Amino acid sequence: MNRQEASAFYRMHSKPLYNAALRILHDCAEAEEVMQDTLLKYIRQGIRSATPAQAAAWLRTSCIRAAIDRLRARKHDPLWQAVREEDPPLRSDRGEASGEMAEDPVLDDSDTWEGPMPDVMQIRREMETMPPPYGLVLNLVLIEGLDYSEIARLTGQKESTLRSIYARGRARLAERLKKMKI
Amino acid sequence: MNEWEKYIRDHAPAFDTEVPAGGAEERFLNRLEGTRTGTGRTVRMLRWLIPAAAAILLVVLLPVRRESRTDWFEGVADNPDAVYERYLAEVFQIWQSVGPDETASDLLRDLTEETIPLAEQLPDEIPEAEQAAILQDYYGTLLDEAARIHEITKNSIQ
Repeated sequence: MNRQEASAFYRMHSKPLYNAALRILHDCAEAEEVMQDTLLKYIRQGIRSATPAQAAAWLRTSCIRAAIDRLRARKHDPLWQAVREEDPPLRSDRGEASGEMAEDPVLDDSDTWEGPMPDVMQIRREMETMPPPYGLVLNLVLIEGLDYSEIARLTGQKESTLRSIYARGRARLAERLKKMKI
Repeated sequence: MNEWEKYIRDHAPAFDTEVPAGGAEERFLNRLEGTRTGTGRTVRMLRWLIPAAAAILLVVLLPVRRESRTDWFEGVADNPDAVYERYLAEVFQIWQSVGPDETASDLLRDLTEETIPLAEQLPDEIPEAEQAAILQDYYGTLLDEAARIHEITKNSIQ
């Protein structure tokens, strides 16, 4: 890939990768580094016969994996701590937790939305300001479209824990979005 | 999935609004160029350390290494670039045949990915034919193991 091809390749893929990394890391410099690492890795692999869709999927998965690895490598990052500190332990965590346990929230799909949907930017802002595990899991499920088994593999958390975090995060986000309407 | 969750999913691309800081493309292209030409202290060090380590590894492992089951580089000229290109093509071939099995796919990626390919680290002082022979041994071993992983995971699925 010559410089011109690399430049075209960069322009095609950099924005979605940068945004995916930024949503996970909340740090512009780190997000740019992860995005660049991913693109360089792809070029180094020399995978040129893949279709553009395959290439985009490969890049996105690799970028998300790298961003999560970086997040997990932060020594003092209280990524999953907020769940334990703010809420009583979940039943799905009974293997790890002790003391009072909360019922795992049940996902209610009948929750309808009255009136116009909030602006995408408002939703993004609300998700960004949520405690890390909720924002992260909501982002991975809703925006990145990953399933729980994939997220479990990437984060090292149990699927049941992730489902509970998602359910709680979803309830919090719905509450915030409803407040915005008032 | 309720109404607003579906709304977020359907509008996922609209969340990609941020752009990297100015000059990001130039920084990327410089990094790409840098790793290719081997600039930077680390890369300069690796230029000698990696081949040296690989050579030692080969000397130690070669006598005990089992016979390669496949001649991955049959018909490839004694040229380092040609060997590396064949290696990438073979890796891609195996990677594609693995299909949606993520565990196998991850294993293959971990085994075959190189931050700075050995092909680019061998010093120019080594004759081309010699470089090609080193690369064939090195990448041949990796391909043998990649094929083995593919075989094992394929059988475990069946």
